[in-house]
Amino acid sequence: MKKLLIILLLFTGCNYKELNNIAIVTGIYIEYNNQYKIDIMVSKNKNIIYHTKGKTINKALDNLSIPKQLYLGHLNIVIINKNANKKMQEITNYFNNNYEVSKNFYIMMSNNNILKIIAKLDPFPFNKISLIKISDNHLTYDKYIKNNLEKGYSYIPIVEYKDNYLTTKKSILIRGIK
Amino acid sequence: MISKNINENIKYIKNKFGNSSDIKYRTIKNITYIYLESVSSGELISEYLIKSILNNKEIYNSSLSILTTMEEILYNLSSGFTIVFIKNKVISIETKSILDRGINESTSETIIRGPKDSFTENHQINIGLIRKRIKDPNLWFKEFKIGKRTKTKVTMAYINDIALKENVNIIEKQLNNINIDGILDSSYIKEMLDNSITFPEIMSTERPDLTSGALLEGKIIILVENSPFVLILPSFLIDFMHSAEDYFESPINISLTRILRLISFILTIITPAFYIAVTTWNQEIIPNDLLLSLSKGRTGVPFPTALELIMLMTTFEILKEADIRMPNASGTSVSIVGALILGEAAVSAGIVSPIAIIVVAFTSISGLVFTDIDFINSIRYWRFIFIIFSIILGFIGVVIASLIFLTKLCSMEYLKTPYTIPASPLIKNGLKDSFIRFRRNKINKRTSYLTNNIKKGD
Repeated sequence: MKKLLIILLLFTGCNYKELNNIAIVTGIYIEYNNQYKIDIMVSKNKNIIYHTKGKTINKALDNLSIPKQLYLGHLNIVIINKNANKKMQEITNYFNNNYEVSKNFYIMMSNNNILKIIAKLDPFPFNKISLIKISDNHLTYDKYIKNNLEKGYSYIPIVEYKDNYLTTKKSILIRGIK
Repeated sequence: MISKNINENIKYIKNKFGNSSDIKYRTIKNITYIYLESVSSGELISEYLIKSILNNKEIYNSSLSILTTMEEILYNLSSGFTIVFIKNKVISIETKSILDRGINESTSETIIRGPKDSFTENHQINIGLIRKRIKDPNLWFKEFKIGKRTKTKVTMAYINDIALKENVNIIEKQLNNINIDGILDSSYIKEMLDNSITFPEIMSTERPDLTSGALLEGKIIILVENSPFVLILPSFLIDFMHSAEDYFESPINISLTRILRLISFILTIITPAFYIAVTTWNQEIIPNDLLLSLSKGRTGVPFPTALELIMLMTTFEILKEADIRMPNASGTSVSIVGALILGEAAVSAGIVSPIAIIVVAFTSISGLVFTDIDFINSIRYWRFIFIIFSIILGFIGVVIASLIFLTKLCSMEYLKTPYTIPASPLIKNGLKDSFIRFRRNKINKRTSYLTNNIKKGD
């Protein structure tokens, strides 16, 4: 019994985080122009957006200057700009390898920075995001990966901001990862 | 040894008692009697003894006996008997004075519907309360005198053709092996017979109806002089989740109440550990809006979650203890101070978060559903173990701790029956009165793990 306890103590990971020491990330916006430009939407009483840049996604997130630890378990939206089209493999690599991300976030492409508009809604605009399911073009990340594995390709919806409402109309075809 | 000279006897007795101030003796017409004023009643002495001596009639009394050794004389003197020296014979007459409080309502186990008399400190009254409920001549009482200096009467009672003979012999042997200075309460015997650290295996109760029910099932009870608490053994986990009132209400209501008690047993042990695991290790399972409120509630709190919970639980235990010891006059102010002010003020001072108070209050209130004090204390101990495991490993820690808990529960046994009977091993006719209660006419057999005599009513 005592040996069991001692062995258990050796297994403790570094995953202990207090609720007031984490920054709850609810949305990410990724752009690519010779280096990654990432916008992070952190929710507490209202949504705040932070900007970073970096050569890879990991380096960009390391450059961030928030005093709190990033918590990606409640990530809900990832918007990728069209000019990061060629970099989809790196982006999916990052999200696949991250154990904390909850792989059922909505993934979409856009032409301009939609995250600023979404940030004006209430924190955790999840219930409002369901309004985006106007056409049935919404796609969650696990479905995206599933489509890639089954069919070899997948569509991603494009979201636009037109006259005070968000629409998803066209879809862009992304070749699967081999 | 009793000598022929009466004066020598009396001097010997006085020296043995150290010339205590309550020894009184007198000689009338060549008859000497000696008694202890504190435990004997002067009225009874004059009624039985002096009247018949002065009128030259025979001494009459319902329990008159002739003694032969000095040890018996000393024991009977301390029990309140009067010793009379007549013509080379030594007689003891019962003249005990009433030194107890009479049959009252029980203060620790209150019920609404059902008999309200409870055991007192008088040994014969306790035995009488059981005898008048079970008028079977098979109800046997065996007396032991335990304790070198206190010589307390300890009585073991059982119904002869229901209880198992091996159990009776084992307990008799254990009682005979007790070698102690004094027994002041039934809990002394309980400590000696019950050798489990975690959950209690012997139940103590103040109610004669519960005791009689246990006797009819085949259990063995131990009554101790000067103690209003009676021990029932063997007791299993399921017995601590029943209350005396269960047998006086309708079966459907009681079934739901018992299921509620089972749920609160699990909740009171797991809730603090679950809260720590969810808010510090696995925040992914919290719904979105709840995460925001929890996070806002914890702004500015300087302590880690586990320390908050431990501080609050310690405060609650201190409050409970103070509430018991405080005299009745200031009882209500203590509860108001504790509950409202400490809780509210601690939150606004920023020491604890509001949901921690809710968790601790819920845990403690679920723990108060059970009546046996030993059981509540052992729940407290397990709560703490669960918290430690959840700090180290989160949800996996809670699972590991519950595995250890289950293993420990299932490995306890007393008098060769496991503690978690009738759930494991599964005994079908014991299930009719365990988690739910069937109607009485459907329970027509006794449980087979306590007795060989299964048929009722013959």
